[in-house]
Amino acid sequence: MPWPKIVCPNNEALLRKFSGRSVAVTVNNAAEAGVATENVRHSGNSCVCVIVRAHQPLDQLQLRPEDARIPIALVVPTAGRFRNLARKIDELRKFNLRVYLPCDSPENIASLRILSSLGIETCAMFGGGVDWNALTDLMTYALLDYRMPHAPMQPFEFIASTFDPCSSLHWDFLWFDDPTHFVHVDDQGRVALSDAELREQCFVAQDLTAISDPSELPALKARRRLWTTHFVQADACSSCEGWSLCHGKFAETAAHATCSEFFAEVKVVARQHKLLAKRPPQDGVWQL
Amino acid sequence: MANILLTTRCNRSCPYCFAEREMATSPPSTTMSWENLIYVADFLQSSGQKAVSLLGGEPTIHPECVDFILYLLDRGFAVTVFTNGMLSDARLDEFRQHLTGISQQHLSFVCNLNNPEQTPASPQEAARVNRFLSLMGPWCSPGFNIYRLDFSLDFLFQAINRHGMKRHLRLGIAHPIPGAQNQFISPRDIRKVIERLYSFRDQFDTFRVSPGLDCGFPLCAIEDHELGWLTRFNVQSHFQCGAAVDIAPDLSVYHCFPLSNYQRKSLFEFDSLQQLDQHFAHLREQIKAEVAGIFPECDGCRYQDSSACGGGGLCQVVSRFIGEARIRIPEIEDALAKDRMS
Repeated sequence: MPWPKIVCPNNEALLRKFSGRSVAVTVNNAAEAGVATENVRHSGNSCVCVIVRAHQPLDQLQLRPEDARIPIALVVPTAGRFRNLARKIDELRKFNLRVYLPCDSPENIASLRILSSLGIETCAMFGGGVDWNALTDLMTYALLDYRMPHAPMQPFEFIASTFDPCSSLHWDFLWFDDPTHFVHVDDQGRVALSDAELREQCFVAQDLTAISDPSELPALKARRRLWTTHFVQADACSSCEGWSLCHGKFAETAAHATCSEFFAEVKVVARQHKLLAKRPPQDGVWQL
Repeated sequence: MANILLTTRCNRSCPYCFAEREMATSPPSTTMSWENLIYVADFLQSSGQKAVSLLGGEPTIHPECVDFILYLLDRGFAVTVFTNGMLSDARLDEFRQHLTGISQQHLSFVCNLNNPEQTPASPQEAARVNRFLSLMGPWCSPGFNIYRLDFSLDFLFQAINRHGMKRHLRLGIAHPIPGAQNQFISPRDIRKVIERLYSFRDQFDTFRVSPGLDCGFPLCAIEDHELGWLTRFNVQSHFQCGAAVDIAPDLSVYHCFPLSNYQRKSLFEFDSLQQLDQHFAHLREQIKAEVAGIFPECDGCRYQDSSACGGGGLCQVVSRFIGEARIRIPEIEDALAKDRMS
């Protein structure tokens, strides 16, 4: 397993502790994206992207025009009102960004569709409490509504474009939540396998240097084996049609039937998406 | 052009309202959602449309009216909002803040005004309209629905001048809803309407306002000299009743408000606006196969044959069916039966 990328705060002292790594640096203020990128470069690491974890709605954020080429994952609680956002749409289109929105309200689910329809790449973040029916509609729009071009909406776009009915698909890395792709480091250099575990101070190492081979980390091994518990316990997830896409991710938070229907539908839509993508372009009238 | 209905509610009660039945039969909570708006925008854009009209009910009472306008503008549509101008102070503030910077080429309003003497409104309502026109006048064309023969247009010329409105007056006949007791202007009276309109010629010329006739006027109701006067404004009058294509908040589609009971469909049944137009063209053909127009003389009329005239408004034509023997195609008979019941 290659070394996972490091998600860590924009802390010069911390960044200097390691070099030659791929780093996704986190900031709370969108205006710091440029500085954070420079800090990563100066520390001898390469910058994967800047993760902006903003506490303000998207319509309140100020991005610096000079940061337009930096890959930015913009995690916002809401998009805000469109009337305010409308003035910024042209500017946002110029940036190399993906807007992450939690699907915890009908407004946010609508905002994902609005942003995508206006050409801004988005990523839906959802947990067990999501309105699965609304999410199904959103996913169908993202993958099958071809009448007008719209920007990709993750994770649906990734799932559909890499879907193989005969194999499992892991897409959690899109949320920076897959320890085989990303490990999370706090200001003191302590390492956790996910952002949630970092916040709960559930660390797997006190320092990156303490890890010689990440694949040998007992916590990582345990996490990679976690899926087997569903089959040992023979719970509903073990016989679920959507298993190859969710791996029991929502077992504790969602009523099984709801997430099961959703992921089963994702598979159907992903197949259609593939078929549509394979369809040869239609001839123009003059070619008839 | 397609009409997107943002809500079926209205904050005014005009005596001639031809949307009344449609609004009365819709659930009061029916408003356009973002999901449906985006679907409609995709549908229209993929059909090659570059302009949309927003209607209601009263579209400005939709809580996200301003956001919807800005979204459609961002999608590249030219947007026309049909309003009665009775905006709350809060909504007017939103308009001031977000819409007054938009060019009049991209955003326009048709403000339907009633004669304050013949169709009086409360002082509060009048004040609201006044405030709206003071702010948005340059974006607005006045609209006027004719529902009585002694109509007066003087107040409109004053409003145009006072508020700097666009110098084009959109005139429509208050259409009847088939089966309802609201035929204010009978087909035979349309000639009188034109005569009355022509009597305002001096004001139109003095104030440099051009008259524009909405659907429902038959060509034969207009004398040659009147037609010449209308043509001089370079305003195309079609004398045809084409489908406005109203798209309701629940994405049902119908020909127009008066004919909302007839061959109503869901937008999901169509791939393009052209398909939708064909569907309603078929409806028109079915009706016109029964009765050529609003007058018996329409049958065999040379203007009809040459497609210079459509024989008046389809809603007026259908009104002629009411009370006749059941001999028509089943779909129209079913709709007529519903009309009789209502």
